[in-house]
Amino acid sequence: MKKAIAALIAFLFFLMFVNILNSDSEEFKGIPKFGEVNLTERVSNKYISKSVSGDSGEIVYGKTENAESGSANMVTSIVVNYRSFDTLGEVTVLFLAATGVAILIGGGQRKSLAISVNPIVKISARIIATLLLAFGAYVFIHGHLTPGGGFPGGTIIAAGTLLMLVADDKKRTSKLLKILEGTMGFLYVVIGIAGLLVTGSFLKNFLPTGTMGNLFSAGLIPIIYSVIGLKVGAELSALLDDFFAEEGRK
Amino acid sequence: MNPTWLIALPLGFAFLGIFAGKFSKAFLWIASLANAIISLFIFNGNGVTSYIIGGWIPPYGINLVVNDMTRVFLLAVNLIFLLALVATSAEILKKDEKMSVAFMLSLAAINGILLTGDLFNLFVFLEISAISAYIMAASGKEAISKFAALKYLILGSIASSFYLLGVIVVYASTGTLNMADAAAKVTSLNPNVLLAAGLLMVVGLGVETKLFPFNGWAPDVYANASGRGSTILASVFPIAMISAFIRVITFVINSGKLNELIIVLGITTAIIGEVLAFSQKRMKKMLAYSSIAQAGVILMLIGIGSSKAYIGASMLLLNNGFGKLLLFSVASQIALVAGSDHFENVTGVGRKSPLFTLLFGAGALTIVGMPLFFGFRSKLYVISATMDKSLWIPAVILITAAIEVTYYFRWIFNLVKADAKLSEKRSPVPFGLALAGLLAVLVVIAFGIVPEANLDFFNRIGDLSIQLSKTLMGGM
Repeated sequence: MKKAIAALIAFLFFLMFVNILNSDSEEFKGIPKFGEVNLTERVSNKYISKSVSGDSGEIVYGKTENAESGSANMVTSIVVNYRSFDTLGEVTVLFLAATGVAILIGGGQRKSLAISVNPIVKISARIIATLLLAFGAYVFIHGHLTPGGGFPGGTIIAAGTLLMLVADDKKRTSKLLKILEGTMGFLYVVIGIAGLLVTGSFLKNFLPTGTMGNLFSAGLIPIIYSVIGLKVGAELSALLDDFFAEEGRK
Repeated sequence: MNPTWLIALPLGFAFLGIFAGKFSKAFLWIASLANAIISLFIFNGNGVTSYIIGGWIPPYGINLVVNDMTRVFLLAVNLIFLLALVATSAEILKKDEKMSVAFMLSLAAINGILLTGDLFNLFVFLEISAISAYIMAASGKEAISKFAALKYLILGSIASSFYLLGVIVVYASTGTLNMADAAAKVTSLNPNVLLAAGLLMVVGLGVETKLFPFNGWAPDVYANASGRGSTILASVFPIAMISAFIRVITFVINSGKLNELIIVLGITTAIIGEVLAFSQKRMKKMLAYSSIAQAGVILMLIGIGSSKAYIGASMLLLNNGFGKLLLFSVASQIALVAGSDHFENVTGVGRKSPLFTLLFGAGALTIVGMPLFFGFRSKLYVISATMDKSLWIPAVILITAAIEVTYYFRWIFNLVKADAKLSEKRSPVPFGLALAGLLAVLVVIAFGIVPEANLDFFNRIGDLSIQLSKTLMGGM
């Protein structure tokens, strides 16, 4: 009975979405059909042409100087510049979730593995983890130029930690990670407050944006993305450690 | 004063608090005290001001909007939060250094929900507040609080995704996320699309505002969370969540069919809440159902949507905030003294410590709506506000109030009944609870007896709500 009702509700939901997806007509506006979007009416248009605070002309990679948002990666310029406040919020969501895990299941001792791990595995895990650390750092430092950024970079670093934790049952993450995590989060807020004090608007970029496509460009974006990358990496590593301690002795 | 500080301060302190050990408890006090003071400064003003974030003008960037409704709510939220901390300062929580971080983040998120003028930014703050609420819900001593928190976690996560889906529909069809811009653009939209988006958002926000049938999590969470957790969840969170509901559902979507649905659901919530509260055997569970009923009446008023209804709704919200602050903090302390908060166990506790009875009684009387208390004024206003819509809505409110009176008085009489089982030893009321409780009692009585002219900030809420609905809310 329950399943039948659930199926009915799901079907009604499906009908509702089919209905609203076909709603665009001459008479009323609805969700636009594929390829028929009027871009001039949408906010995203100005993010792409980087012309929110004024027309900045044609954007050319490697040539344009001092664009309003100096990031060559369009997504990054939205995530860390136009809507940076949301990203601060998302960073906080992850931070809070990690804190919740630490409150509920953290603080125990590690559960030891049932099988002993071969030293070759341990050593090669260390080598790969080091490579992952370097790769993660590369991803978040180049977040304003290439796909990637703070969140993926941090996650790659945490993947290295996971490898180390799986390969070695004596391994614990350092207590310093919590300090790194907190400091980086605090730095993000401080950057925001600095913007508020310098320019009068929270999280506003107050550094020159440079030539688009250079490593040292885009003002605050690489700094914020490095902060996020380190924070997410530290956070997820500590989180994984908490999970490994879940079934251990308290 | 730039309201960004209200969000940035607790956020910054929370990040420091994660590794500051014992200092994080001090940070919590500093952050909430500073927020209360800043919100006082913001309260001293009127009109609509928009503060842009990141230097991008709306609708391209995110903005914070301060209007007369926000001013009242901001002050109330930050004051009640501080009072709740004081009232429950005697409680010792497990891992309370890390818990302080969760409390600070909930404070930041609640201020963000009240301030933001952007649909997606609201979602982010809803997420933060919801996750901190899960942590608070799991902070109780007994294992059942974890179970309650898990139920809330599942329901709450599904709800957030529903809200997000609604935002996606609005964004796909109008191309903007700014509330004021979206409110202006949805008027030319196909009503079916608007209704679908609104429905998704009602489901999403309905869970947090405890609208029937999405409120199944509330009784268990409120009844089993720690004293501090349940007090904040029951007094501070409803103000922020209902403010979000007002902004999104009535100001942005504003679809007639949806408003009628909300009126019906609100009335159902109120009746079911009161009837179930009547039959409860545990004090905090009774209070939880009473919270659900209050939320129902407030949501029903929001569905009516006239300017008087908004004033009535905000009065009831503040009344509920201060009343539930008293009731939940006292109930948690009584549960601690008596060993549990079952009806039989708390018999006579109030006779041993009359201050318990005074605080609990004052809270109950203002929720019920006795003369001299704020509740009386707000319920009177609500009845006059709903009278011109139709006569049976005030009738429903009166009937629910009658049920409310019955069970609250039953609990008060139970508290003062002579009972031989209790030991002779008096159970002292913690200083913090007495201080915060008496302050809250003063507030509800002051709001109840001061002349109408001193409360004109409520009237400003009503004056503005109409114009706010379309043009000024996003500060464009």
